Amino acid sequence: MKQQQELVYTDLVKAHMLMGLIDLLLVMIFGLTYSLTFLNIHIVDPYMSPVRLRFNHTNVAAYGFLANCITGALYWAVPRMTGHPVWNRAYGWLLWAALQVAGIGTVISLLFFGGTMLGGPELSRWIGPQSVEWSETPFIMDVPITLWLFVVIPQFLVPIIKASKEKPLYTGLWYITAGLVWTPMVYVLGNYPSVFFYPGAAGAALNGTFIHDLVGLYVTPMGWGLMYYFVPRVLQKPIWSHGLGLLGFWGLAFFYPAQGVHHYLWSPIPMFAQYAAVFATIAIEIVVTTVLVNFMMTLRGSYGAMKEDMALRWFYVGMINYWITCFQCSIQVLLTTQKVIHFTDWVTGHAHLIMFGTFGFWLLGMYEHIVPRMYGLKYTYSRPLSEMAFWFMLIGTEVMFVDLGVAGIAEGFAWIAQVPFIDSVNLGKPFWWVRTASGIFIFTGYIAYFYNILKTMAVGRAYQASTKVATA
Amino acid sequence: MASGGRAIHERWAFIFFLAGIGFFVTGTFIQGVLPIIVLGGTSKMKTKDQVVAEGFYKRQFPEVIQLLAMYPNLWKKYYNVPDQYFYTAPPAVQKQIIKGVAQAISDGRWIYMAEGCWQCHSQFVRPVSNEPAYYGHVSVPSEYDNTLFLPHLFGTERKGPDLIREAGKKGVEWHLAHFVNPQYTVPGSIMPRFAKFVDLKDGKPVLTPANPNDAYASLNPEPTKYGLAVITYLEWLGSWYRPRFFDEWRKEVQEEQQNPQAMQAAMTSTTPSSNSSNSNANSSNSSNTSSSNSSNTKSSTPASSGASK
Repeated sequence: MKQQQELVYTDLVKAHMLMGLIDLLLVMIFGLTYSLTFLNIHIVDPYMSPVRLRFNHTNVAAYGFLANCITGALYWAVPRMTGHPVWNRAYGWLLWAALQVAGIGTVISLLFFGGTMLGGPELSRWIGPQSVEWSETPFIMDVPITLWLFVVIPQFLVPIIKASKEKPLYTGLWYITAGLVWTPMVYVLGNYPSVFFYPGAAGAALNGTFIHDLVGLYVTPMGWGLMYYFVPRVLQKPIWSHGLGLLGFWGLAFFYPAQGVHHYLWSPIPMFAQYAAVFATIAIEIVVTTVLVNFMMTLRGSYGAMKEDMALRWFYVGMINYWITCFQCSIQVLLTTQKVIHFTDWVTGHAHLIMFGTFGFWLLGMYEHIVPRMYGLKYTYSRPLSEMAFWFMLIGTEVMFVDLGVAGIAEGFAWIAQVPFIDSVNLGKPFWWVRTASGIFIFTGYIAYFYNILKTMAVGRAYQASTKVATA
Repeated sequence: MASGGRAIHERWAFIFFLAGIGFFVTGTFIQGVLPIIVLGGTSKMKTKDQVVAEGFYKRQFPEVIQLLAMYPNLWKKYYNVPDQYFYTAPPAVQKQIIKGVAQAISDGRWIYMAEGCWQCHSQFVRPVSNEPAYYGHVSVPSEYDNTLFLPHLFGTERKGPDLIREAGKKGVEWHLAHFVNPQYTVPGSIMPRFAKFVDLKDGKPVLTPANPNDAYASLNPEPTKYGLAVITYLEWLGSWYRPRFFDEWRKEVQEEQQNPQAMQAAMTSTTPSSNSSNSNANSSNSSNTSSSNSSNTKSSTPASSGASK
């Protein structure tokens, strides 16, 4: 116990987690409010364009929720995987503060700057939202975020290097090592060349590469790297196959960076890049399956744990969602399928299942595991609340996925049939009602989750105080 | 496994440099650098003034000229554009007009970006799914090679129609009414209202009108600076690539130059069968369907719709 407290600095985990969970709350509020636009309930449009809410929905998810929660989980997992503490704790607090400033700055500038808002079109290039999907963060915020991503490397790489000198690195640390160096490069690629140098089709190629790399080279390696720590830890047994782990990692590393253009299939981007993207995307589905087989075989014989341990349930449901999304991806990336589903709601459903249904679930599961253990407890405050959160968010996410998928197919065929565009919009309206309803489901579940975590922390503090008194 | 020395693929530097940097560079080369090389890099990129000048001299801007004629005061006030017909103005004034219009298009584009129009309206026509028949000519790389597509605005989602072939499809007054309340022109539309684009003077828009025409009839809207910029941008989009429509229009111009009176007479005789701007609301559905077809018919050529103003 004492050794663990020296190794892991739980205050940083807590700080990152709390900001990440608050950001997720914001993300859901932005998303729900924006979804009302589709039902012709316009709340913000006298003051600002509602799309600014969507900017925030996606950007706060990436640079608020995911960045915070992943970093917090790294502060917990990396010292335990390597056996060495992170580089510097004071530096960690500086990084934490910088990330929050960048996050708040992003929200404010995405809501109130550029375009018809403060600064006008003249200053929009510097302080207004950019047209880089999933990184609409304005230029003034891009620079600090880029710097942050570079300076965060030593914090986690130093313990990894130390561990590497002692013995071969563990599989989870391969993902984290690669993810640490990929992320800043991805961010630079997405936010500068296509914004300032390359117009039109060339810029779109870079931009597509960025959109996909942010998923594939930041969130995915960090997510899997942490899974390689948490799943064996919860199950109390090693991963099934080291060989499959090798295959999974190197396959991901090789194929993931080469598939960005699949976001712009049938576009004016040269066809060889589109074919390469399609090939790499289908290849990665095979790689993903090997990783999934590895984790499912690890679970074999311990199915009962799924019933007992909430965290494990989040992990494995997330993994199944991950496989569904990747399988779907290998189908939807075909040029034939693209004729129907490109530009439609299908893609929105796909994105929600991977970003929330997988990585969101994993992170929520991780904190379900971490938070009680930070205080020496074994369970969260309330099991019924945990169950409620799990089922509400699961049902909400799956309903949204199926609903938007069906809506996408309907819209796609309506466009091929060349009906007036407004008819395809009217076709989508019932589906958008269901989408908002599923969003409310997710939101309700998340409120239960957040309350449960806060309560667990309160109980944990009381428990720590009582044990301190007892030992003293 | 016991010695760290043997398993080189399990040491941090190998992963950091090969998987981290090496594979990233490989992937980016295939997906980013090669397309840039094939597309010719930035060597042929035109500035916004060059693009607009080219458009004027190739006579691709009937709608922009209509806009200049409709709101001379606003153009003078916001973009310092003198109130003169471009093709008869002296070169110095032409330069001033080009500069003002290019600035308006650029402003409109930044508003289009910052307000997130591109999240629901894509800007490329695919060669599949009957899109050429619905929207217009298939997009080609060369048409995007100028600073007005930097950064690009292809978009990945359509909650509204594609806009890359938008020039001349709707008309200035349609856009104005549409910005006051999209439901005036397209009943059932989910597009938000953009009040900052329109100066309603003392009028007030009705949120969900029972009869869109009645609700709009009491208004007397004029574009604000932002509205003027956005409408100019929309009427510029695709103005360079509407071959059939453009040829027909140029033929009319040539005929007009040869025999102005006959041309005037021909235009007035076609007016009754045309969709004039105030019946746009009723016919929005049908005009949406045949947007590319209707641009071929005489009724919606800019010459006639401009004359009706």
